[in-house]
Amino acid sequence: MTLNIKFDYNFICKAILQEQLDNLGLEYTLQSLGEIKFKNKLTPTQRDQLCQAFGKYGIEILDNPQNVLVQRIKDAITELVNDSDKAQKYNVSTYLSDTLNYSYPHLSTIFSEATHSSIENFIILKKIDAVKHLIMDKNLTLTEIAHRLNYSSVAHLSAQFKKTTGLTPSSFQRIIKKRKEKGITP
Amino acid sequence: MALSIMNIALADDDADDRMLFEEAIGEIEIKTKLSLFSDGKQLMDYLTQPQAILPEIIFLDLNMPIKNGMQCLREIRQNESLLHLCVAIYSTSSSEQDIEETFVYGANIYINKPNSFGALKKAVEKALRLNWQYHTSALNRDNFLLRL
Amino acid sequence: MGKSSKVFIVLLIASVAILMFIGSTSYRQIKALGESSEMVAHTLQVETEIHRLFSQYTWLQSKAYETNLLKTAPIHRGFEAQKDSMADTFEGLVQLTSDNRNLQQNLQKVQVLQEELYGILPRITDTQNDLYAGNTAIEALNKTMKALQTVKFNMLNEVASLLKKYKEAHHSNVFLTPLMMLLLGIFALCVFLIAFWRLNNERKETKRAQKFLESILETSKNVISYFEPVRDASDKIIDFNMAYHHKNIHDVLEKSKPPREGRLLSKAFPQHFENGVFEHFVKCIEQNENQNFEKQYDFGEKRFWYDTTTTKLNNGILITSRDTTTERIALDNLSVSKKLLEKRNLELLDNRAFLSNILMSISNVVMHFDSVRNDKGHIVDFELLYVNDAIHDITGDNPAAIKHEKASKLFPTIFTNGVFEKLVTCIEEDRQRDYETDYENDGKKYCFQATARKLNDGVTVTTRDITEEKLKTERLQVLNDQLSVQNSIFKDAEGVADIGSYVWYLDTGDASISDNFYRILGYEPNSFEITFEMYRKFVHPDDLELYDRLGEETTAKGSSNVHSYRIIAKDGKVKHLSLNGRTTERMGRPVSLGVVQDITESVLADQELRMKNEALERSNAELRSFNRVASHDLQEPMRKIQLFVSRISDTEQDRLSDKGKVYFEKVSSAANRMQTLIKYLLAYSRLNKKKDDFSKVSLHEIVAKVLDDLEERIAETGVEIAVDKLPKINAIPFQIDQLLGNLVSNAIKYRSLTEPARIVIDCKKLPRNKVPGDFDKKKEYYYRLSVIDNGIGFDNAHAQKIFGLFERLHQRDEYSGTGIGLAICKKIAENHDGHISAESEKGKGSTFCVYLPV
Repeated sequence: MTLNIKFDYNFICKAILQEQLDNLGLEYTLQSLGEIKFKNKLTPTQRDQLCQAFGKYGIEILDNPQNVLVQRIKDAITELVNDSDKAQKYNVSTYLSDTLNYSYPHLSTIFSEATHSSIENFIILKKIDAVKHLIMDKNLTLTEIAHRLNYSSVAHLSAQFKKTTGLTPSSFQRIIKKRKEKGITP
Repeated sequence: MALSIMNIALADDDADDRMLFEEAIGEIEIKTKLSLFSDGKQLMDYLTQPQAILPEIIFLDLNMPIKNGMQCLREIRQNESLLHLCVAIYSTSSSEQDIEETFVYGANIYINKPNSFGALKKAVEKALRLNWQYHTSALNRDNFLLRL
Repeated sequence: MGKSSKVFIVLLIASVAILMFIGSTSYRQIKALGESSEMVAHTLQVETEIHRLFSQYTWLQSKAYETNLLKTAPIHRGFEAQKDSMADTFEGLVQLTSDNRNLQQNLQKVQVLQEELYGILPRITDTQNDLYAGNTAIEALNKTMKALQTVKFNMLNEVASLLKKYKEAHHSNVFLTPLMMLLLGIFALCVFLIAFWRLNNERKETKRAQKFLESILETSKNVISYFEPVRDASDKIIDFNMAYHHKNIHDVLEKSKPPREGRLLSKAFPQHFENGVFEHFVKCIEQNENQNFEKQYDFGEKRFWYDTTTTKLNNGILITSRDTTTERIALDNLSVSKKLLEKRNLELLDNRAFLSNILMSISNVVMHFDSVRNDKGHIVDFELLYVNDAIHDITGDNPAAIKHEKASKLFPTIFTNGVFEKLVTCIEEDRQRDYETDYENDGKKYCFQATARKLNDGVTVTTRDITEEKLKTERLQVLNDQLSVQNSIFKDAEGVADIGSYVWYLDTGDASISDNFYRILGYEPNSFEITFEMYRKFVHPDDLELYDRLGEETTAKGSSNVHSYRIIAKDGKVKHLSLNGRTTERMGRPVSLGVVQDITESVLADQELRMKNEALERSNAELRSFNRVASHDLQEPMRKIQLFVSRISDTEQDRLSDKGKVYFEKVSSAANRMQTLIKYLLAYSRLNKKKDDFSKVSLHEIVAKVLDDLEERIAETGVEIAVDKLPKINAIPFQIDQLLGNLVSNAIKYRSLTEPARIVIDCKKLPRNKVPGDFDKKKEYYYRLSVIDNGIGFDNAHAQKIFGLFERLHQRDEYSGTGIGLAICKKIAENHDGHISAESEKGKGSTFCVYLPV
């Protein structure tokens, strides 16, 4: 038997964070997904415990402010990609510099240094990820997807997809479908 | 640099290929630690050790003696603790059927062994970068497919 | 009566008119009589007056004479007195005669003469003394007198004639008037008499009618009443006053309580207010409509039915009620008997319907014939009186249409085939006859079995169609014959086909086998008795287990999965037998009947075939693995060469001599070529066809992908590519991809160098008969996918050749190529049950058409 499920990453992450933090009996507030504020300073033991607890879920504690900023850039981009209204309204660079209060070149440099990739590439990745999601889970046509994600044309979308993944959207779709049929989940 | 070292494994029976791959990895900017295996069995034996440091990405040649790439791939995808690893097929075959089949059986990346060193370098680098993104950003790894 | 009374009225009017006329005439007559007698009297008076007047004149004359003679005076005095009276008379006369002119004229003359006289008279007196004078005077007097006498005479004449006339009129009047009176009287009498007679008659008539009516009323059972309505203050009828009813009502009601006239309806018949009778009465009055109703009334113990008719008469209503009680009873009795009758009728009808249904539904033909006899009383023909529908199926006749037809017309054959005689004897000897007869219609032969029975002076014939039965019997006969023939043929066939048959009684194991079975075993027919157990010794020792299973299963379940085993024949040869048996019952015993076939040869052939197949499969697998190994393992070193070439050119380029560089370049290009070749070969060998590779693919998407893949080449060569609308087809996606990729890249490669290069990709749906090419066209429609270029083209003579493996039309240094690309295309088209063809002219471009089933 195969069950198809759909989940909300944000919700899952939040639930995990809360669960782990509550387990350790810490007083905290979740500022955003990427930021936890503690009432009291953590002791090194507490920190280690938390590190271990989060590690099981692939959650990392970012040590330096640079990493924090990179995470914020990623969050902002995620938000921008997922919100087609905002994406239409804002230019990425202005949006990022406005939200994060840093000049775009600065953000760009920090991002490239920390991630092996540029902000632009990351945006494309994010968008293609959204395209995949829409193809697989919502069964939308390319035309609809192109419209939703602010691609100028289906051809543009296809080209970008091919360039990023090396596959055409249809062969991608075929592969994922076959995987589901065979019950293979990497 | 804030980037940590990336663990990489390569299973290929061809010594030349292993050498060239190592050279290529050495020339790209990303900090890596490469483990080399000369066949699928070696690789699987290593991965299934309890204390193994698991690589973030495994490059698998398809055509290997003793245990070929496809068998390794299936074993990895059926193993609970290895399931999440990124598998990149590194093969001479450019048959569409082969490619599709490996993807269907859970490969994330398919790299045709290139004819030039430059192309090899480029391909490996792109694979590493993208994999890194998939591992560090909230991207859906289920859908991570890349053909180079 | 009405007519005569009209005549009578006319007569009466006429007689009244006549009476009036006669009356008025009499009245006039009487008046005329009065007038005429008056006129006579008047005339007589006139005469008298005239005489008096003239007598006075005469007196005067005499006086004058006296005077003259006597000389007596005073004449004057008397004269004067006379004069006045004379004047009166004269005046009176004038008045009397005012109606007669003659007399008036005469009177005027008299007046003139009178004046003359008056003049003379004094002269006489005066002349008493004078004689002469006296004489002259007397003479004048005489003369005047004489004139007067003449006038008198005239007047008297006149009067006399008048008198005569009046008298005559009077006479006639006196005669007419009584006559008229008499006439009047008689006529009036007549009218009176007639009127009296009539009246008398009528009175008598009325009296008689009354008597008649009364007698009718008395004798009739009807109750006749006259009711007057009683109204309340608002003029609404609330009751009726029973103004009249004739005595019959006594009979109706109990004798002790006869309703008195003048009683109120509500008192006498209160029930009328309940059963709607009252409403009928009211309606009759208010709407002036005759009402008729029949109602049931209970008077005391008895129950009556009355049919009542009411009529408005003056203010009230006249009610006539007829006692219909007996009628009712009779009617009830009638309806009961009628129902009975109906029921009987229905039963009768049912019986008839039942009978007719039987006759309709049976397939037997039932006919009834009435005999037709000649003068001598011999039956010469039959008339068909009845036939059921079944005849239609045989003769096609409509039963109704052939009724009353003669048998000689309908079935002329009965006179020749003896049926007629049978029917005649049936009637005359009154015995049932059964016979069989043939009948032919529309070329179809029927055979009937008939039964004839006498009924009245006719015969009822029931026939049954036994054509089928007869036919079956005949067929059975034929089959029997055939069977015996076949049996002998079979015996021969068994030998020819190496077949034997057996009969195996499952209860005892007894068996019998056909001659050829003996031969298969290597013995002469019937050279020994056989049983299941005995046969066992022929079975190959390795198959004994099978044989026993066969025996068990067949005995237990009637069938077995064992269909072949081996035997060892007399000469020691191993034979393969296949058997097919089925269990049935024969003479109350379970038996398995079956056929065995010596399949030794085919088993051996099969074994050989299987071995060959296995060999083929092996070699195929070897070929496949060779292919893969060859391609892959060849490719590996090739790739390695290329890689190291690239490595050397990256790192060691500067250290090579110029010549070395050239050689090195050559190594590189040779390696590249080698690699492409291998790649293509690999692709070609991989082109196989698996059913699940097929899926619905959009040609449009594939073309887009191909163009995308070739993007760089297209951009650098500047080829213009036009793509038509393309359908979705059922195909192996990457093969179509490869096919189109090869065609398009060929078109780019062999583009025109003199004019702008153009490639058109289009698609058209064609019916099977429009598809060229010699291939198995399984589908009705095909898509023709064309790639058309305006490139360098080729000699059309090579149009077939170019699809061959390693066929090249160009020198390698002109155009690089492996000679595999189009071969791959051809194989792909064939893999899709399609076809590829090319058409070209050197320098004019070429067209490649791929036909793929829809």
